[in-house]
Amino acid sequence: MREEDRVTFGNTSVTTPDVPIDNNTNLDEIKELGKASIKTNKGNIHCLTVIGQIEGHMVLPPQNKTTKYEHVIPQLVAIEESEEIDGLLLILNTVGGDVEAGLAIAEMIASMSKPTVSLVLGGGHSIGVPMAVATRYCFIAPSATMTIHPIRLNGMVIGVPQTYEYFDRMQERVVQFVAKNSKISKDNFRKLMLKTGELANDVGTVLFGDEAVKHGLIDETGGLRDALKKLYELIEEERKKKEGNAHNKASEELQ
Amino acid sequence: MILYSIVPFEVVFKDYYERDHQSKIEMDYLGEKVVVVPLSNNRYKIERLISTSPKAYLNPKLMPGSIIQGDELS
Repeated sequence: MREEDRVTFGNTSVTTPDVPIDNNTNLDEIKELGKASIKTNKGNIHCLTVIGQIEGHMVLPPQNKTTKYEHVIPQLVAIEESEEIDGLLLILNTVGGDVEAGLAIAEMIASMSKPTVSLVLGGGHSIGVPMAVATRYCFIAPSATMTIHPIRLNGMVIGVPQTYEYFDRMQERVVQFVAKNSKISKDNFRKLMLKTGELANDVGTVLFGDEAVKHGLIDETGGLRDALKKLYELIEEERKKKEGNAHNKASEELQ
Repeated sequence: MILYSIVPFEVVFKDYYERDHQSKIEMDYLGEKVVVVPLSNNRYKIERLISTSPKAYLNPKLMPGSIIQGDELS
């Protein structure tokens, strides 16, 4: 692999050392299927960290730390398309941000064909919730929290019932996405969202790591080791599936 | 834009209208279009990458925040 072809992002692309090649199966593959491209290492993963505010349609003032969606979205396309990357690890520590931008990133991740695993550290609040559940398997650190609360109104508000209706529909987008991509029910998620007495000046709920797991929002509590282990497991499964397909196709052709 | 965040709107958008708008320049760098902010000593900071090539977005040299020397720009 040429150096310029190696897809890395800072120091975040992890290459694992090769495991010994089983020469016999390798040769058999070539003889039986005419195929010599067998990847033997555990796989390359790409790590995408989402921090601070999710920046969408508006450029936020410089005191905010932001994750810009116009950069994350093409990166996800490149990760999906790259032959060198086998899986995506999403690390989240976000306070929320633009609904449309967050949902866009979440939908992109949810529709990827490569294995994806997320790990919530510190906090995955507001729009960070749909982003966390978008991956195939999600982890949360026991000390991490997720705040689930209704979308807030800002800017000019017209005092008509339609305003409520509009916001209810905007909220529904988040509720639907979360319910579709995790084990929590729509009703339960809405209940958590509208709970009173938990937040000092807002309606909603703060979930700790194990509570998020209990509600079915997140799959498991864990850390980096667990997230990586799961991701490699998913990569392995994916590879076996692909090899199986190739094998079936080749034997069909032979017949 | 709907902000869905635990950080209050006023905090996120503090000084939004007051801040001085730095002059941003659009330039070519490594064959891609980038929006840069000039720094001192003939250096530039990448603010944004404008490209249709997904791979360009994985290039650390084109990452927003990276500093480039003025003579590397065309």
